[in-house]
Amino acid sequence: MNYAYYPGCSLESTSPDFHLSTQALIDFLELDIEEIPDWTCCGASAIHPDNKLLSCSLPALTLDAANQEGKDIMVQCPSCYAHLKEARHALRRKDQLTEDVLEVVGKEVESSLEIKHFSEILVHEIGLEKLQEKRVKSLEGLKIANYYGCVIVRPQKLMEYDDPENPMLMDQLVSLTGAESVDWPFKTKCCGASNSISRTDVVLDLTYEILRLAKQNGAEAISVLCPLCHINLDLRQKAIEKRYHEKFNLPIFYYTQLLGLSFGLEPKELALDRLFVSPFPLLKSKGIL
Amino acid sequence: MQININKDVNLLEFGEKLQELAETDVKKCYQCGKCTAGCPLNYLMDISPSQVIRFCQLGMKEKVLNSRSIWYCVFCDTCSTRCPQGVDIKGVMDASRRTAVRQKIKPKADIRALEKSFAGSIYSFGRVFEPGVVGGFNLRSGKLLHDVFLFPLLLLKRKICLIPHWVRSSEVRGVFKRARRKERGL
Ligand code: SF4
Ligand code: SF4
Repeated sequence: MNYAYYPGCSLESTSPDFHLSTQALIDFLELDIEEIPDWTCCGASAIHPDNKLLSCSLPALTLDAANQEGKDIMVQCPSCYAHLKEARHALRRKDQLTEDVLEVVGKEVESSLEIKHFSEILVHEIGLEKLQEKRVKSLEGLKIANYYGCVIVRPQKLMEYDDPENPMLMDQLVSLTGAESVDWPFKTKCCGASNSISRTDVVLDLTYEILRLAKQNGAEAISVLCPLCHINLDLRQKAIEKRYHEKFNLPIFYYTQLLGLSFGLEPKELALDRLFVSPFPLLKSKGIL
Repeated sequence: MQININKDVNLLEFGEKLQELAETDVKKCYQCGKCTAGCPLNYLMDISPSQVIRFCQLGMKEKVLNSRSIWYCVFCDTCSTRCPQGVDIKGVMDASRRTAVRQKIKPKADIRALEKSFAGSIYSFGRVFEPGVVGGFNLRSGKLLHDVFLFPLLLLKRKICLIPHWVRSSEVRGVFKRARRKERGL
């Protein structure tokens, strides 16, 4: 295993809970994964609709930084994951776009490196059995809806993450903790993404349906792997409840936090206190804390 | 919906161009409507995703470029994943939006204001500086108080950084400049 960690802007600013719980797992599992020094933004969803060339060139800087260290890339943010893969694809095409990207970046960039989401590394490289051995606490009795969002699974040909409509990677990891993954139909429904700021009402409409369906199918909390989905479901949950006159009170965990709990890590290390919808009453009622 | 095909539109030419940009074949669409059925934003669109494709087949550029739909699409790719004919509807939305931007057609949603604020932040700092992005968006869109009530909450949970990080920003700026010049064909 030879990965460099690319946290991306969201994990650095609005999602420190994801960043900290990831770091806690890396330390606990003694993985040799270090942050890429001086990484730059992947361009987020803002550049792509405007300038395709730029949206492929910005992440190419990160590919280059990892190459310099002779490492593959580990990411947590699906949006970064997508942009890095898109840039790599642009470099692999060996056509006009490739030439343009190289010209814009101003240097030769290798495109053979791997780009992996942390959940892929956990399941495919460390393996479920090995992780199972590390479990010291069972989250039995906790019912979780696994919500992947749309970015990490689609387009499947480019992302190569998991099934585009019914992914199972996070389900497998969450099941490992002893918690129950409920069956529900909105695993990869879009949350409205970056409309969060420009059209908040749209996001409230879409996330309302997600919360409603999760609850209807028996979930007591939701597990996510995307910082933007997290903001839309956690930070905005109060606003959703107000708009629709319906109480949900569904804690939104990052999957890394649930794993960390089952490994016996402290709530503080996992930044559970930084969630907007407090998970403590639920965890206490289940005897987990 | 009744459609009057304007004799002046250069039939197919627009569709061909978009196809090239989106790298997909819109002619394969047989209007089953599956893309529209699964689109989470269809309820706000003026023409549905399958209609966008139909208008492309007909070369009706104005309909597509002046639609609200191309600005509301969030690129979730549900449509393209499910299309039985392998049409990349999302790609067409994306290509149409970029064409509209290039032709300076007035955006039908604030999403452009947000995109510009994001790009400005990356250009200046090399990374996204969230307070700057939201502030910039509020100024550009005229929604001055938008989301400001979230700031104290974010501060309380230490989920916002009030000082930007500058990272390799001159290198990033160079990339921006060269890419923009190239896109303009200079
Ligand atoms: S799903 Fe495909 S074939 Fe069906 S209407 Fe949409 S683009 Fe056409
Ligand atoms: S990519 Fe756009 S058009 Fe397609 S389903 Fe998503 S929002 Fe609708």
